[in-house]
This record gives sequence, structure tokens and C-alpha cells, in this order.
Amino acid sequence: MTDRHPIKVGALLWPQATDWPAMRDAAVAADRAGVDSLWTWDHLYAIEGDPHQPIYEGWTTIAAWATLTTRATVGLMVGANTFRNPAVVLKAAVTVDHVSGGRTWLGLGGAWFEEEHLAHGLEFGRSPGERLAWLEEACAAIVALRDGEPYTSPDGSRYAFRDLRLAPLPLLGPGRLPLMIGGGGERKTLRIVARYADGWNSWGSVERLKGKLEVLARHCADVGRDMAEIELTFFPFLVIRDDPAEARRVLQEALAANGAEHEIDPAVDFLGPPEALAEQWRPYLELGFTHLIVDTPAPHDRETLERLPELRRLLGGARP
Amino acid sequence: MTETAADKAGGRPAMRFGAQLWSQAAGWPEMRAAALAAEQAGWDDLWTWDHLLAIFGPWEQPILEGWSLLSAWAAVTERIRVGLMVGANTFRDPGLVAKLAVTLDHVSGGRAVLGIGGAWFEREHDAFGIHFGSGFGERLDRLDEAVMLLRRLLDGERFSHEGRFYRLHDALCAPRPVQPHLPILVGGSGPRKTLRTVALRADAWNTSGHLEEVRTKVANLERHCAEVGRDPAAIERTVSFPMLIRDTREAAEAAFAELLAHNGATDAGNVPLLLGPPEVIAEAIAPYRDELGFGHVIVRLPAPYDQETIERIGEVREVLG
Repeated sequence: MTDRHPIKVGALLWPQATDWPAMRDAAVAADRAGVDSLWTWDHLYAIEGDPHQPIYEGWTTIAAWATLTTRATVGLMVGANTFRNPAVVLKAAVTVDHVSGGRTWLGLGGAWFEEEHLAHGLEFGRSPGERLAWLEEACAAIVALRDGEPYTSPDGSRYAFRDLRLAPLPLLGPGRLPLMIGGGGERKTLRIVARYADGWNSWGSVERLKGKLEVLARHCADVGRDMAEIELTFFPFLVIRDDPAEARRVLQEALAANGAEHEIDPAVDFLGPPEALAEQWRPYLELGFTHLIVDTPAPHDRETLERLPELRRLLGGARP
Repeated sequence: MTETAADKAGGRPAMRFGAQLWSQAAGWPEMRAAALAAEQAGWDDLWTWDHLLAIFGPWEQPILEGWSLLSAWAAVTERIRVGLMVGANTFRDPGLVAKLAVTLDHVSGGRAVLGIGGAWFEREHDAFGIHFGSGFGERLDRLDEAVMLLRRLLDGERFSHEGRFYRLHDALCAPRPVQPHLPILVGGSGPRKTLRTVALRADAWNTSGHLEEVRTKVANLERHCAEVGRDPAAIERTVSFPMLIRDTREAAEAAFAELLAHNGATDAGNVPLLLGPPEVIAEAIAPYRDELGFGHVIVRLPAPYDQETIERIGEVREVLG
């Protein structure tokens, strides 16, 4: 565990099977309760249950949140690189960053859901490898531009940026718009994380994450990156109730409301009172996962959002 | 677009006013404050550009992204409509744009307008590596196909499409907009293609220019409407002007020159400038309404947004009756 990254609690509010008043009110309530970060997906079709069920667009959602919250960061977990020109994404990110007063993460990943690409006429690429090559190019451009450098794409690239500059720069100054990358691919994704990311999001058991971190450490050594610079996040299902059986029931109902298939597993799902959940977090924290983001299906459980900062307090994290 | 209470107040509908806030050389605090002031002062709608580089003065100037601004505005306002004047069709695929518009409509509680045009600023396409097409013709063909797809997506149709530019497989935009019919506004006056797209598919049209130019554009639009069998009265006509209200023309000119200087610009384009007292401004607008059927004026407002113009728009409306 590093001292560089304070302990944080966040919520990833699913944008499917919900409506705007609910999306708005959950974000505002979490912000007021002292949650550190608010996230939503970037999908055009629902990824759980029926793909045609209602779902909101990501950037529009977090731009609205940015005006309604005062303290929590906002971001996409994670943006689909295939949906938009990456420099247009950076313009949107900087705009949300300014609207939020410097509280924005730029989340990006390779994208994986073929059906939404076909439906919306978006190029999906031939393989995960090709999409990750696009992601790597996107990250190289975004990081240079964000840091205040002009950028021209190398010949033969997917993107054709030409003497591009970013104005305005992030509100807090050049470079100060952190890049969150999601995904666990060991050969390519984690190399991109080592090169470019300010944050890396993953999931699963302590054992799984330990293995991933070893790979990430090797990539960091290869590219000369100090791994401690990267903020590590993970996003378990988590429901806070004093009675674990009740927590399980709440999660089950929310998953069912989304048509989501997930077998509840007490080894990786966090269900129960804050004290037990803080203990469950501890081994992750010891690996360096200082930022826990609750994967929150709609209807977004208000008690969990409001009590989430208790976990931070129990682990000795101060409200920043 | 929907009627307001003012429309029904008298025999002649009240002139509607939209505030188009330039997104260059501006910060969010000014954009937010101007939006709230416009809502307070009774403006009907709020617009911003969709550009990636500044279009007046040096292109290196700061400029913010359009859709994110609209959503932020939607979240802090309550009554005023919001839209892009106009979105650049080249920047994003129509499937994504439909999703943006629907989300904006939900965030705003049914106040979204989908503004779109073919795009024209080659430099921003070049810098961002966005396909600019082989010429205006191709971009406008692309726009036509996109507007057709947007209409179907916004209307909740589930369909597949194999077109010249776009290919959608089993597409459906859910949720539906809050509005039963989310309006599409098309900007541009290309006599052959853009106005045909307007005639075929638009709920509202935006143009600009001197009275005689605009007269010709209206005649072209009406000709296309006749050809495609569309009632031209079904398309709301909006016309854009830079405007600055002061009690004297001299004071207005001086204040406007300062705004242009703030934007590094020497002029605001070849369009009539409405600078001066409300009576003079109303007199310039009247023939667009009385002779050409424009019931909706879009006011181009350079940053840092003239507070007096925003607050006094009601005086212009009153003179117009």
C-alpha cells in the first residue's frame, strides 16, 4: 500500500433500467454523503439482460452530474474508445473538467460489446488486438495533448491528428486530468496502463488481482514507470446492511431488475455491515487497491451510497 | 417546436428569441451565468456551437465541447430549451447522436432540440483527423442520410439500414425522448441539397443573411417543399443575427467592438448587425417576420456575453408585438 493515494470510496451507477431523476438523485445523495467518486458506463445498448432496454449516454450523464455535485469526481468506467474520435473525447472530458471545477477522470478502454457497434454503425475492428492498438494510439495522443503538447499522429496510424493542440487545458493545469484505463489483458492492456494511465480499474478475488499486479509491475519496470503513481481501483458488488442476508436480498433484487446474470459469491461480493466490509477490503488495500468503487445496479441502493464513507473511516481514511 | 403561452396570448404569436452563446474564449462560469440570466430574462432557447477549434479570430483560442455544455446547462436550468446551433454531422455517428439527444432530453425534462448541419470548417477536421468528405456535396448527402436515421431513431423505430454512408443493424434508441416528438433543426441554406433535406425532414430551419439573400433562400426552401409535398408552414423558420442592445447605436457599436476584440475577431461575418436601441433592432427584424415568415430569432452572443442585451430582450419582443 502506498501513501500516495488516499483511501477512497466510489460508486459506479448503472445507467440502464433507470430514469434520469433516479440517476440524478443517487449521484447527488452520494456526493452529499461524502462519496469520493461517481462513475457510469459508456454503452449504447444495455449490457446486462435485454440489450434493448433503456440506457443513457455516458458523457451527457456525467456533464449533468458535474453541475449537480460539489465534491465527488465524475468519470466514465470506462469510455469506449471505438465510439468517438479520441480527441473529441478529450474535448468533452476537458469541458466536463471545467464544468466540474477540476473533478473529472477521463476513463477509456478498448470496448468489447459487438452488438452495440453493429446497431449504431460503429466500427468494431477485427479483433481485441486491433481495438487495443487503437486504444494505445488514443492514449498516446490524449496524454500528450492533455499535458499541453501539440500532437501529430505517426504515419500509418488509425487516427490522423495533425498539429493538434488542446485549448483550454485542464482547469487545474497541464496534465491534471487523470486517465483511468479499465481492462485486465496482460499482454497489451496492462502495458498501456503502465505507459499512460493515472488509474487502473480491475475486479475479482485478491488472488486474481495479485497476479495481475505482478504483470503490471513487470510492464512498469519495462517501460520505466513508477507503479506507485498509478491509483488502483476495483469495483465489487457491495451492499451495506447490518444483516448480511438482507444485503444479499437487496443485491439480488437489483440484479433481477436489470435482468443481470450474476451468481452471488461471498468471496468477491461485499455484503453486510460496514465493519465486516472494511475487513473484507483490507487484503485488497494491502495490495494497493486504495479506491473501492461499488458496482451499483439500478435501483441504486441509497443506504449503501449514504453509508459508504463509513468504510473509508473504518480503514483510517480521512475525508479529504 | 412547441408553442409557448406567449404564442397564444394575442392574434400574432410573440417573436421567440434564442441565445446562442459562443463557446470560444469563454469559461464555464460565464457560460453558466449567462444561461441562467437568459432563462430569467425569458429567452425561449439556449444554443451553443459544435466546434473543436475557435472559428472567429485565432483558431488556437480555447473552445469548449458542445454536447457536454448542453447537458450541463440542462441540469442547471428549468424552463429554457437547449440545443446545438448546429451540431457538426461529421464529428459523430448518427447512432451516437440520437443517444446524446435522448439523454439530453431526459436530463432537461423534455427541452432538447437536435440541431445539425453538414459542417464546413475544414481546419478542425484536418487537425482532428475527421473525414471531411470530397466536398460540400458529399457532406450534404451524408447529412441527409444522417437526419433521416436520426428521425427514425428518435421516433423509436427498430430497424436495420444499409446506406451509402451509414450501416445500422437492428438499431433501437431506448429510452424514447421525453418529448413525443423531439424536434430536429437543420442549419444551412445550400440551395440544392441542404434545403431539400430541410424540406423533407426538418422541424425547424436556421439561416442568416441580409433580407434579400434570405428571401431567395426562403423561395428555394418553398420550391423544395412544393416538390416533396411538404407544407412549408410546418417548418419553423429561425434567423440568426449578432445583436447588442444599448440606448444609442454608438454605445452598442463600442460594446460590440469590445466583444469582438475579446474573441480576437475583427468582424462577425457578413450578416446584418443589430446594434442599438430596442426599437431600431425590432425594426430590422420586422420584415423577416412580416415578409418572410420568421417567428424565431437566434441572437449570436460572443463571450463574455453582454448582460444588458440578455436582460433587455423583452423590450425588443414588446416592440415587435
